[in-house]
Amino acid sequence: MATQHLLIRLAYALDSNHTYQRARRLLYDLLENPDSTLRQGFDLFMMGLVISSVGLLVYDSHEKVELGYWGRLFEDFTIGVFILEYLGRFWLAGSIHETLIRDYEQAEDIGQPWKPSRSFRKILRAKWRYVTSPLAIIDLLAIVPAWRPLRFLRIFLLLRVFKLFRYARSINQFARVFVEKRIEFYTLGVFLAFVIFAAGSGIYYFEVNVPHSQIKTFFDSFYWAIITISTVGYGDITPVTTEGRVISILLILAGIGTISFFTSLVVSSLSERVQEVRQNRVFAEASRMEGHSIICGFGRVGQVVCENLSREGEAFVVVEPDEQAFQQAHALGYPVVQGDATSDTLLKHLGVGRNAARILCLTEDDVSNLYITLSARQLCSEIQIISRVKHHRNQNKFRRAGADFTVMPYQLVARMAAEFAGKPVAFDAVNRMLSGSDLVQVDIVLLPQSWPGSWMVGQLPVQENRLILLGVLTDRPAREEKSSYRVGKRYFHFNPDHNYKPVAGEGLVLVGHLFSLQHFREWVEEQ
Amino acid sequence: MNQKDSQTLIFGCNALGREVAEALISNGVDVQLVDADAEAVEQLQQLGLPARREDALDDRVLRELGLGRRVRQIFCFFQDDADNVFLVLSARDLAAEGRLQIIAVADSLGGVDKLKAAGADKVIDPYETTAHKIHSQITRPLLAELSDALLFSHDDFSVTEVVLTEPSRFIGRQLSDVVHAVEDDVIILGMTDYEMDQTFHFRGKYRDHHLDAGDVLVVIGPHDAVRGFRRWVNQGGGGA
Repeated sequence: MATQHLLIRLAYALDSNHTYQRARRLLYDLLENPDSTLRQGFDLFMMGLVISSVGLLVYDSHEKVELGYWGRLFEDFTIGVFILEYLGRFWLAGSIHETLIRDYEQAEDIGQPWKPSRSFRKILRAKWRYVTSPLAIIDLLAIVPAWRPLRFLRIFLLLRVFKLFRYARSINQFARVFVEKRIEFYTLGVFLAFVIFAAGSGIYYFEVNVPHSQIKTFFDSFYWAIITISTVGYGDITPVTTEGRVISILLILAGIGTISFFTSLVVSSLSERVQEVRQNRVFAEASRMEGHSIICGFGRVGQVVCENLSREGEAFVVVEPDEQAFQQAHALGYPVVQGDATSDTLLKHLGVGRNAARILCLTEDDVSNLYITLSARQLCSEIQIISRVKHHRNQNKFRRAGADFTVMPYQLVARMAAEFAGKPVAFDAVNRMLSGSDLVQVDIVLLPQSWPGSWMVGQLPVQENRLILLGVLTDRPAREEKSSYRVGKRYFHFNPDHNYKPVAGEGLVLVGHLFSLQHFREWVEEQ
Repeated sequence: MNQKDSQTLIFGCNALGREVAEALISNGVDVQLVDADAEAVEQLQQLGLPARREDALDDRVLRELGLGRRVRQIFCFFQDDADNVFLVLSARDLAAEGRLQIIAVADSLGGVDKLKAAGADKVIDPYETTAHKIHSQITRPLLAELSDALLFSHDDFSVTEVVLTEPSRFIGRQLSDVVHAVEDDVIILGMTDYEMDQTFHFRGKYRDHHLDAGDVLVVIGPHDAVRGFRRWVNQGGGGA
């Protein structure tokens, strides 16, 4: 009982010990944390160490070469680092005190006596799982200096370093090819084994006692069979009897068949995977973006949005189910995933709920757009959702599903057409000013927090900059005598009195030349 | 605008045609919808809109509908760009003299240029328009909201054109001169001189403009103020 108490007190002490926690955290950042920059540096260092130590090993192989004092010192240093790394990883694999505390608290919660032995078994299992993992075995073999050829295994340490590179997932994809086609490979393997065994036994049977024959042992005959069937054909062992040559002919024919079968198998399954590999690359790209937009649907609207966003250097990813549109987006160099944006997993992979700032539902179909809107809102309450709505009657459904903003193309075009009809010049002029495509633009200059509230609008250098002040955008409700209109959550005071005093956070709506606006903006910042 | 003796034709009884027709009718414009599809026509008729079943690709029909006479404005909203181009060309041909305003929508990428070449005054690409709207909503959300307020007419506030007619008090004066002479709650943004070209001249630019009859001022302000301004401007009386 006393030891149990001591154990658990120790565990709690460790848990609250800052130095211990910090050391563990540092080690985690160094060895495991996929997002830490420390780890990338450490990996580079390890890569250099592995390459130079393997290089030294190769250099040292020749019997005339002596390593000398520094060489041996470097070798010892390398081994030292490898051992420390191995121990570090061993330490990180499963936390002892955390397991103890968790189990203890769990036992306390349900009022059962705590059994330390069970916790220790759990800990041992975690450590054992690490020790028996393939990479840990390679690590271990690399630091066991006893048998020289094993030291060469160090080259495999590079594998772990390579794993970090972004496309590790793609490598897994390729490995999965073999798993998926295992029945085909199994058939091929059995066939190969049979052919090699038959040819090897045959050649041994016919040639082992023949004078001048190079086949002396059973191993020789298998070595010959494999060299021949693979069409490598060194020619160090050649059949000398007629029977042996007949076996060679059959073996070569079988070899050509198997090799073409094997190649086509690998190629076909790889090309099936290419799509997925590509997709993973886009996921990896999306996970590194900050505040990007997810564009669902690469129709005409999606295309123009992408064009604008990419021109302004904004980050985005495209999701498009249709093959042709997908290829088009791909050809334009946009990060694009072929798939259905209504899938939650796809949305999560693209950063909904993490680093994605907004999602644009731009498919042609209201039902899909609505579904995407709803899925995205469920995954993340903060993400901005902008959706295209085809039919007027569906607009409320989009609001209900969680869209922040909806665009109705028909209504928009109809309103534009109707407005244009009555006042072509005015409409075009204002539309161009607002879209920012002209040198003369409408823009909003927000007053910074440092803005002194003492300026009256009449005193601002508006006329000097050849600007027109249309109004002020503000949270403050209007005074009665002036014309004021609601714009979203704010008010737009049109043409304010020259003694109106704008305060910080309000926006001045100005019309003017781009450079004048810039100049005025700078002036505002200086105040 | 004087709407008594003029008519507006909308070709295409679809969602777009319907929206525009409703908007124009509420402004008091005399509207006629035309489509060759009986079903589409009937649908709009049931909604109480003046729709007619005619083949708009026939010149005789167009003439019958009043093109070249009463019709001052047409909207080409057919689904197919080729139909719209044909229609625009026929209409331009029929209304060779006299002003006819043609507004069309384009469906394909090259459609905008073709319709412009055919003689449309304004071509709207619905996809591009939607995309720009979404883009400005992303990059400049404040301005996007304000845009709606400035661009589209409301009950009480709008951007409007004021045509200078004899004997306007502005005729014979410089643009830079008159912009500050306005006492109402109205702002003059600039002007277009139709005799010169169709382009809009922002008032803040260095080049000044001599105002004469037929020039169009683009003004912004509350309805009442604009109405008052329009009356005041086109009275005689020289300087203010």
